[in-house]
Amino acid sequence: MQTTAASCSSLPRDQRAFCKRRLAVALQGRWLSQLAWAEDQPRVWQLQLWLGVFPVNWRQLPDPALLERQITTIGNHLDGSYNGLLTAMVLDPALQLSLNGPANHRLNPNENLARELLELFSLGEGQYSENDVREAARALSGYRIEANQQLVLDPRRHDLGPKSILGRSADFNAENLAHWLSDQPATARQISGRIWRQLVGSLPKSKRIKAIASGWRQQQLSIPWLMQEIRASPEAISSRQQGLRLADPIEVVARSLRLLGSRHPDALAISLRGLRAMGQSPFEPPTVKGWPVNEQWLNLRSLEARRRNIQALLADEEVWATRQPPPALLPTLTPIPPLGLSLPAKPSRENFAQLFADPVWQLA
Amino acid sequence: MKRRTMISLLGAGSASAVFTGGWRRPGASSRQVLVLLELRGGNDGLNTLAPMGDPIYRQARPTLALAETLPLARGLGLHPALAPLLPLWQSQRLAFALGVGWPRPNRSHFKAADQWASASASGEGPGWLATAFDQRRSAGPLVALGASGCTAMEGGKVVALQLGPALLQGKAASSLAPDRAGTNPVLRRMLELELAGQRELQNLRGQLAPLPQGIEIPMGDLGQQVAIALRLIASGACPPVVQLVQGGYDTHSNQAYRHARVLGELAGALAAFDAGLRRLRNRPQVNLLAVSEFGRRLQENGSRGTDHGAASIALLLGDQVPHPFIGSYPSLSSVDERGDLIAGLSPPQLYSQALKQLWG
Repeated sequence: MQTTAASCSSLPRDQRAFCKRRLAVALQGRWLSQLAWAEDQPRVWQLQLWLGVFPVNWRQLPDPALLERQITTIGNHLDGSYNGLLTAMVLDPALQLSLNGPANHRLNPNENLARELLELFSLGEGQYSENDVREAARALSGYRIEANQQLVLDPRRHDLGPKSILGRSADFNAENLAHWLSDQPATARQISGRIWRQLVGSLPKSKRIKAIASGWRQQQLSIPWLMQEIRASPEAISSRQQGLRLADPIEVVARSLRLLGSRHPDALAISLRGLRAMGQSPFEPPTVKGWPVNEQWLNLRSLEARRRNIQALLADEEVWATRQPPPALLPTLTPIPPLGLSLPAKPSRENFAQLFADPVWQLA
Repeated sequence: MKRRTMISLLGAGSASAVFTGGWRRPGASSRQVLVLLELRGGNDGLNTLAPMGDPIYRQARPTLALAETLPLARGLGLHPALAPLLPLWQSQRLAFALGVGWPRPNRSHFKAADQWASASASGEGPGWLATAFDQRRSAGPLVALGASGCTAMEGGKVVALQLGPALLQGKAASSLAPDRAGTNPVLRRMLELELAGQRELQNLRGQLAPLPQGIEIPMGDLGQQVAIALRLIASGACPPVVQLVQGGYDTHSNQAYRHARVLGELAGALAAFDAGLRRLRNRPQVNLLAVSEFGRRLQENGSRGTDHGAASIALLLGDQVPHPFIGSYPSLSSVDERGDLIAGLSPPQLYSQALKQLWG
């Protein structure tokens, strides 16, 4: 898997794009089957959640395999602190490349990574000045990717000397900049809010997020603590019980695939095609802000695409022939009863079609 | 990207207000159509309509300054990739708004996109088209042809639809009454959207006209959207606002190639659009406004690209455009403290002019 980089870039120029796309499609298939079938479901969905916080589109990379490294790196930090994760992400080749990090030279600054780091991965909009962006770009200058796809700091390209960021003057580089940003109360608020949005749906009053953020800081930004705190909150519990959050398309697709139980390659191919139409192909986030969340998906285009495309799974004869459904479609499948089908029901093709077409199937 | 929260989305008017199919007389056609084209990523105004007479332009852009352009007026030259638009310029069906932008932009795509969508400097509130139509109690629907919809149309009571090739072919599914959702706001909104949308889509689908004969639609996403727009306009029941989208303008690196490519696609699609309009009889008056979230930095960066900047240009095309220019080209010598071009024309000014045309 890791050796594919050389194979694509050693090809003649006109074949590289095709090679890269083939690798990306394979990666998307592997990731979707993880989401559908991995034994440790909570872990793989937590990875998916953080991939939405640090989104990288495979098209921005010379080699899609860099995304697998990013996933491994995120996985290594899930039991640690956000400080550790943020530092690792700022130094991650995939994220660096996607935000023009290696183009940022002390003599020719490129602010893309610095700006998104402050706006999306740490402080949040309105919490920093333009000068902070410029100085952060200086701190992040001089990193480049070597032929073996490792990120190194090139002292000739790096802007040495003190930089003044958020009122502190120091000899900042990527690492101590990430630490300094993690120290800021605004970072804890922004990241708690983003995770809350993903897990619960709508944001509570800012007082509530502030309280969680301050508790999180007391826990040294422990990621397991934050996950547990939000998941166990009364708001999250009632959101889950009442189906108050609209699931992401990828959740709906993975869940449909799992319920149907077909491991036929068609099932995966149909699902990936469907996700493209629904606007959530794996590793193709629309912007550096990641994918829409909850009610942001609510438009006719996306709803129609969801329904049409999970029905396509049922229309394929080979997928249907290789299904391994449960003995019955149980009421526990949905947070609230479906509108057009009463459960439990036989796992017949008609009942599957009814369930997949039901708006309630789209709720988390 | 939308950043509106649940509260503003669900709180916008009573739920029943969505079912305002009665606002629109069946078969009634708009006499004026506004086409909003979003150029996503931040189009480099300086290299779209270049200030060829200004030595600062060349100094600031050693590798990116255009060597050859198509001279228009006031020392401004059009990017060569836009050559297909020259006949439109000569027949006064093309104009440019100069120095367009928000004061003190913070250079964030999202913030800027929200500002343009809401027509407010804070970037908060419903889409400007939704607001304008609601205030006037004017009939929709507002139709987005871009695959990711149009934030400017959303958040209000007026029906906002997304119309793509798949929807045009698909057959309508049956909808459930929104009351079935009980107190679940997300579910209720889903059902409302589907019901309102299905009514309007059925209406539009039934009316769609064939493409005017003898025009060639260029390949690509924007070409596809232009084709649907022409079929809507030809239908005799064109929605009052149609949105198109073209991406690819965020040229942080390798700009010379990438910018020429997107501008070439733009020019081809717009020339086809205009050719189509000219072949239609008894069509409404049509005006197109093409905007982008911001312009780019005067100074090129070290990656043969440009970073996010401030003022840019907007393009106006159609039956009643303010040819040749509105606004004035920002000075390259008196720039703001960050070295960015200073805008003299605000997006709400452009919008209010577009709405004035729409409603006379």
